[in-house]
Amino acid sequence: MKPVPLMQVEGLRVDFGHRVRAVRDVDLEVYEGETLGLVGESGCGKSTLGKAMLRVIEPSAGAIRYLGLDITGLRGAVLRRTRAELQMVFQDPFGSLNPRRKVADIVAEPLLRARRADRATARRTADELLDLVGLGRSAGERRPHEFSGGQRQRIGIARALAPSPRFVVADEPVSALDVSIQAQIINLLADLTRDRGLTMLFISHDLGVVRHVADRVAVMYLGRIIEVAARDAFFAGPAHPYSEALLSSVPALSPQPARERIVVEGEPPDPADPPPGCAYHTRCRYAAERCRTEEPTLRDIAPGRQVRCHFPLPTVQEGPSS
Amino acid sequence: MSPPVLSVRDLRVEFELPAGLLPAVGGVDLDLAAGELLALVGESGSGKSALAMSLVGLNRGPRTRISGVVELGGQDLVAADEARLRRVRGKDVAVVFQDALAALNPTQRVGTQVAEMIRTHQRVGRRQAWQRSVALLREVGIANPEQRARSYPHQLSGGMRQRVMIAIGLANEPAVLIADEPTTALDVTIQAQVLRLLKRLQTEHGTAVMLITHDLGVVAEVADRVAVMYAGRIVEQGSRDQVLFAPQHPYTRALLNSVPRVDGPLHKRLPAIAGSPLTGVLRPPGCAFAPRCAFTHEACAVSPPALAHRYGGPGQLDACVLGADRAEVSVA
Repeated sequence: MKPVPLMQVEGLRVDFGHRVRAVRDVDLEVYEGETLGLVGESGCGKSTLGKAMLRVIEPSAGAIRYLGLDITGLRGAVLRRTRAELQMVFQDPFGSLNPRRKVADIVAEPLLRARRADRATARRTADELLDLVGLGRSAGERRPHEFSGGQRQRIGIARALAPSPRFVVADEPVSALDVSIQAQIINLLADLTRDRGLTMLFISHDLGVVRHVADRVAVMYLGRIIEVAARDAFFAGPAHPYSEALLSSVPALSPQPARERIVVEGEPPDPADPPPGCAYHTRCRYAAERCRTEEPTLRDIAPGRQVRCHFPLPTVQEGPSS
Repeated sequence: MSPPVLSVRDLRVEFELPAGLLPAVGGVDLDLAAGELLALVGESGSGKSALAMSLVGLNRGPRTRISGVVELGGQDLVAADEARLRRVRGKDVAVVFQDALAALNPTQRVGTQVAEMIRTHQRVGRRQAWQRSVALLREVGIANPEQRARSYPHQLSGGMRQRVMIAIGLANEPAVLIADEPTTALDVTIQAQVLRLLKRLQTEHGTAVMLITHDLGVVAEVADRVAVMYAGRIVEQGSRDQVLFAPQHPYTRALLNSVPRVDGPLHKRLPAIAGSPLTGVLRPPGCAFAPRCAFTHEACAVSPPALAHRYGGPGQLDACVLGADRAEVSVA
């Protein structure tokens, strides 16, 4: 039996103006306790989808169900209480923290606002969280500029955790960090999701990071989900030609000089003017006549595996567990 | 190894800050051989960009102190005046930056910008320069170069702008191309295209390339030799295979281990490096990596270790005094 998803998105669409459809008819489930990695290149709509799931950006159409309840129509106090359960960690630890405020106040703020906690409780929680993310309680008295990039990201994580959310969208949380610091934050996020039973949507363009963080992977291209798979199955052999090309483009840290690489030619099409048929056919090395005219749907090809392609690549059914 | 086209000796770059003197580059010796691709690797604040910019005097200013020797074709670029540097830049040494949009003139067609670079250093007519410009744009993989040459920078994608920057860099067939994080702002599929282009130009034109990057995957992909920087100094240097697959310095090892890879074994936890890099004005007297290092010894706190051949392969240099002791510790 399939567990009930904590977050479920149905037919979600986000339009910018009249022309640009940033997110197109996305169906996606995130199950309790899992980390779903959402990957894709810039402009594919992954960030917009993540923000729309929390209603940071209002969707143009579709439903967002949190524990079965459609949150798209919520207003006022109900929305505020629900929002406390749904939090976000941003990419830019420099831009997302108010430079004038003390760190303890920054972390305590969502508790005061969303949970209506009293000041003393909020402050106590903030100190505990700063300790938990490895900064120590004394960090609360300082201001953001006194911290390095990695430390600021820890502050951002503490702030997101303050109202005890059940679902967190982390939007490129380690992309601005150096590799030695990136590993620290990845480990911290892994500890926190495990210890606190958090469910997370982890948005990233970096497939190596996603492999180390996610339980499942969803790939976006031009506003659509084109593949969903369990982590090991995905990295053992992607089913969509775009996923294959994306994985093949990652420079490999291997002694063999430049392995057989699938270099994708050309660039992604303009989201305001997507090609007919399959959106990827203009760059796909396997594209056939059908791909130019008929748009594929996202369909099941194996248990827990969906792909939006007329001719999915042969895959290993069970990924090797390592 | 062929004789160096560019030779750096005891290069120091210091920035005067309100807090004191920031030693961005703290005494670097480095040779770039003709036709090779040398990757200069480091994290933010390691001094890799400050080093590269100072080679052609791009970060000169009232609050910057640059000393040492940068020898190119018999002349010292550190001692050279601005007029001489202008003749060198674009002709003998070209620089490609990460942010192509900021580096290009937004009000000028890209073809004109390539043509102007040719005309700045060579006596050719407008029409001929334009034709060469179109040929260069074709060479760097821009489709329909006759049309694209008439575009303005904002009309091109990020990948395409970076190709234009490379075309400008190649306009006068320089001996040396310095590329500072040229693919960092690009998506991974576009990055693969640009890296392939850089590698092809290096091998076909024999251009020596100094590639500055933080991405070890990129290094593995294209580098012949690698120099690793930490806190303003080179801590390890050698061939691609030596540095990436038989590293000697604890920092190089730790850095390689902390990369989340798409292949290879999947760690339950990523082996992170504790603490953060030194970027401030205060530097300890000893090894700058010691506060984060897993193998420290009393000797590490005394003076900064010299970059020397120790236990690595032929030509492999490292700046770690522990040598064999460390090797034993790390195997255990």
